[in-house]
Amino acid sequence: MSLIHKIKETSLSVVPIMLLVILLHFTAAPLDATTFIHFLSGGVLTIIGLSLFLLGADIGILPIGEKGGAALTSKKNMPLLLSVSFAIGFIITFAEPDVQVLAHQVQLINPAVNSLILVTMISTGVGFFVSLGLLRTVLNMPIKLFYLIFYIILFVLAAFTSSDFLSVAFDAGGATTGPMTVPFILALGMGVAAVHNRKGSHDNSFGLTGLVSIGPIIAVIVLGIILGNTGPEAVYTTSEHSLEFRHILVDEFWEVTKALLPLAGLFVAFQVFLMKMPSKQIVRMAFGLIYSFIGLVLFLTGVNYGFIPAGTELGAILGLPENQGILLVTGAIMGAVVVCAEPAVWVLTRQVEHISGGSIKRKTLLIALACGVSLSVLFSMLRVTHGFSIWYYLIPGYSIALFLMIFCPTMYTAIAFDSGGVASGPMTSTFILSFTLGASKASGGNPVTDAFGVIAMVAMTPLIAIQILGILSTKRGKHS
Amino acid sequence: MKILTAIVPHNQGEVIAESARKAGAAGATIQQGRGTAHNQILQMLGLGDSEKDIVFIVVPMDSYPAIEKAIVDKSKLAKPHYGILFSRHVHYFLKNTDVIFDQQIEEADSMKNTNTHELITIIVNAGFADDAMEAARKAGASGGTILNGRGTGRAEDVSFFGITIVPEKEVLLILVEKGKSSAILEAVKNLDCLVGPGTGIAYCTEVSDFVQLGKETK
Repeated sequence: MSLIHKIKETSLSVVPIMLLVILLHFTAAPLDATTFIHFLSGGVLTIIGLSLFLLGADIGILPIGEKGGAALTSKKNMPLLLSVSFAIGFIITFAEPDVQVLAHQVQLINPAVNSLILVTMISTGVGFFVSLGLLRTVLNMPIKLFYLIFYIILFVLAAFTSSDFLSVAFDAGGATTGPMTVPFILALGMGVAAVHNRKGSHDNSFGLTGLVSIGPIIAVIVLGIILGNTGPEAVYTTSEHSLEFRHILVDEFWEVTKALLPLAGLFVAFQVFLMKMPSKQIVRMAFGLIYSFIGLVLFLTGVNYGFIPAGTELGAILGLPENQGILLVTGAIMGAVVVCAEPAVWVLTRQVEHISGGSIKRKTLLIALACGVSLSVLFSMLRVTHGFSIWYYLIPGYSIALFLMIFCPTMYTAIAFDSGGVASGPMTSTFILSFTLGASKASGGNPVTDAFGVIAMVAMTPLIAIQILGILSTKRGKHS
Repeated sequence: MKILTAIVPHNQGEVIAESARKAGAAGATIQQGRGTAHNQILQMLGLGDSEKDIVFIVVPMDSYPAIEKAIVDKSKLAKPHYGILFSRHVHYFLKNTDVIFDQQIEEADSMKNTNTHELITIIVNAGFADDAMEAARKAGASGGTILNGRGTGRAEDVSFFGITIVPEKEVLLILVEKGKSSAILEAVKNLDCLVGPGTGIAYCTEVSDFVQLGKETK
């Protein structure tokens, strides 16, 4: 049965994280007994939650997005396509709980910022880029050009923004690409591409998520330039979550409800106005949404209950100066194993395998991603211990990523930019972030800039890793 | 020549292709599909689907038994109900500009005893293959495999900014014992997804050498 199969698969990606922590617990970094037990039970919840979520994504979110995109394009009405896709991007972002949290953080930097305006700004950014991305798909304009132009705009604008706003801006990119949003946007793009009868149409199936995650970054940067930095020195606040299991469960329940409701609403609207699917499919998709809902609640509960405390404590122990070597090694391994347990990474890699008819294997992509993220966490740990500016990484990193586009096949470039957005999901923003924060505090660094650094890094290295994979695989293809 | 077709679990396509290659096959092409649930309630709940690989290998007549045996032996190491294997006759084969004609229809006819099954193919608009499968199951089919595809669109289809909008399709493959096919085709005949113009088609072809793959069950 598919659920059992899914549990087996997800175990393979979560168990390595657990093994790593268990190993450290019995060697270099013995954890508090409660933290350790919470971590283990959190791990089990994570496996069950992730399995259910993916099962639901397969029959719920993904088909809804795909069918919606296909049906929307089939109407052959450009204003309709653009306005509906803008509305979709706006609505799902507006409802994303992470965006609300982010708005709160911005208020700490600049109390003059109205959080409603900020959320509206970010949502508009996403909405605009969703419709721009679909316009690009329909008109078949080169996606590489879009990436190049918008990343250049982004970095030029960044030069005029205060560093506090910048850190929030890059976080905004990660925050909007939540585990509900990404599969949906991914599927929407594929749906629009699927009904196009054109040579090389697979090239157009991906890339929308990558484009969309630029939107909120630019939106926040623009806001930062307009408003300036009038607030006090930024203080990083990990929103003080209760550590009690019941509270976390209830919190996550509401968060996921808020994120899912607009998707459910879109589903109903699609069905009534566009698709008119047979009733059996509707029931299946509705069940899919329910599975995703339960799965995501369990997953996020497991992560918040078990992984955040364990991550913080591990970081605090390994961040001590005498443990620096272990910190670097642990960071590298952690990056590699954690990315494999990101829900959106699962969805993306599976979709790539489907669309490519199995010629780009899930495993190959995962290995490339693991290498990339492993390096990004390793480099972030170096920054934690030495405290130099993130720009020494970001500017060369993005320059390399943009430069590699010249040699990389379009489909791989699109997948690479998509995976940048998906790699920095809930696993990274909880486990790796709390680990980095813990290490930074222990080694006496500045947690604000470190916290920002690691997420931005995890979002950047996949661009390079996947494009290198693309270049290598075409070289080999030509030889044979 | 024959074209050997095996439907096996996802990621097992390479395993099958490899054992076929060792037994002398030149190469294989693998396509992805989705197996339908055996149980209607599971199907409704979305719990019964399984991902499948469909492997196509064109094989000369004389090496067919060895290749088939290699695949069957390999599959015996796996769980029961691993998959199915069947073949169809190929009378024209082109590879690297070499053409092989193989008009051994008479011989194929003489081996009628291997033609125990038939392959029903139903092509419908995306989303309707499950409906067709349900009707087929009521008429005696045991399971089916769904492939995604797209129609080529007709010339008169209006284009949209220079591109032709094509309908998404699903291809449902159902392998049944000979004699069951007419009941199944009769059952799907009046489904909405096959009635309207441009919605769907169904056809039936003979297959031979049907084998159930997987560990033997008594």
